[in-house]
Amino acid sequence: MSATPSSPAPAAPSPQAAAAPSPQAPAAPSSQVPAFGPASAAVRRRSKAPTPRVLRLLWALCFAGAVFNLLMGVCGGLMRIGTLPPHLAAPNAWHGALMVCGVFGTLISLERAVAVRRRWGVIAPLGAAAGGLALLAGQVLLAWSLWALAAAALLALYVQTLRVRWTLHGGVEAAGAMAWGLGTAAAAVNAPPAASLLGWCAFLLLTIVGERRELSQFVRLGAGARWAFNASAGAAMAAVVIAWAAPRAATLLWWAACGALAVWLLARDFAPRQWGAPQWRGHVAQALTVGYVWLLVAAAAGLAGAVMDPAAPALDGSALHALLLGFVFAMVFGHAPIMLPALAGLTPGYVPWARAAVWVLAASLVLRICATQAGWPAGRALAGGGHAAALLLFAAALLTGIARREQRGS
Amino acid sequence: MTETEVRDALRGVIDPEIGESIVDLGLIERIEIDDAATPPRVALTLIMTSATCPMTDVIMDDAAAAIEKRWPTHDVDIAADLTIPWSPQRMTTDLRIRFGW
Repeated sequence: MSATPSSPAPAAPSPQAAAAPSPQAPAAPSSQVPAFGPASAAVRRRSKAPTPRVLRLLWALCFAGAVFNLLMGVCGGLMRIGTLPPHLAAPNAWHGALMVCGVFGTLISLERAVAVRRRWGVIAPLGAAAGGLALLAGQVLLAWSLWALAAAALLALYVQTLRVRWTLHGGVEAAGAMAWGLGTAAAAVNAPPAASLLGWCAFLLLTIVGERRELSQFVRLGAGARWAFNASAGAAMAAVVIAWAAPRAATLLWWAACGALAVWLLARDFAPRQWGAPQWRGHVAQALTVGYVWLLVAAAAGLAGAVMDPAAPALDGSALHALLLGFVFAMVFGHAPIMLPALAGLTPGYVPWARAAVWVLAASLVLRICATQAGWPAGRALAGGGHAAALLLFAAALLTGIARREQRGS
Repeated sequence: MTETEVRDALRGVIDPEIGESIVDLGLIERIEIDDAATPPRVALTLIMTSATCPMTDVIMDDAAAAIEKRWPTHDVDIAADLTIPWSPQRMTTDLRIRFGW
């Protein structure tokens, strides 16, 4: 067998590639290589055997749990904002916890468990999904315990990969998992509300910016840009810790960090530069860019609220929803078409009107913020309908894309 | 089958998050070809920038499909070595210029 270390580019041979150690051993026939197990820690092999049925079933169960948490969490939000009558007490009371831990905790953990391919990794998404169900059933202590377990398992998945090779983005995402655990602990011991809110928000923010930082390594970043990212992400994590003792100072630090990260993403991430790209790439670029603008809006609203009205709740509702709805859901709308093939083996065909969901969500969020400032309950209820319409529109676009691909038989 | 031919076959495999070819991005670490084996065999080692991104499996599947399409009788093995860091020197000159290096 001829074994040739591949030169990365004929025009520019890579010293790093040339110096890179040879793979540990010639690839063994895949039939002898297990898809899961210790051998995959440093070298992951493509398995020709299907993923074990039990594991696929567990993954599907986690996804179903995330969808159920999403339905309940969205219903709770729509009841709070006045779009739906407040008939269901639990989703109404636990809207935020269900959305962050039950929905995104499950989806993020599932993504990592599928990627790292450790059997025990399924504990993270299972625990996150089950925590939401426990909360809906009134088992509050059980819910906190399950989410703490899920956060610990997610952190262990990150540690597993960071032990193989340390990466900055992996460290930032691991800090996000720690923030999830801290936020859950804060909720369990009745720490100041800002401690749990910031912990949960930091879980999502650090996971997202960690992923974007990973992709930004392809683009040349100066020392200042690298330092700015590290300082901003570090400040966000510091706010999570400080919130236990000094919620007001932590809130100011948090929104300042969000603002700095938004500016960084708008200036350094390559998504805004691909705004006019065709098909899904353009969709992703537009959704992400709109999300970064929402992160900036959240930071501005949060800082303005905290500075102008020191007696207001630690985290203003408009700023919080600009962050969790405007920013986070724009990331979901942007990443879903490229993540579905990896997570579910489904490759949606391009659907141009999927982008409309991003704009319907943005328009309804503007209406929500204006109606809140104007004290106009009917406007807020209408905005809630717009949020739900955006989610349904995007779900319909993805299903349409999948159906088109199926019809083409590809 | 030569290494150059395999690289050409892989040029159409796109990293879904970057929208660029895995060859141009420098994600190919090693190509091993054994034409004397029965069936003939090719083993491809990739590197990845993240060990926690499920996109690794999609890229490995796409790479296998690209090779199998051109050499249907070959046995194709794909692995991703997660210990090797990516560096900008691995990219093609054109892509480095486009990405501001």
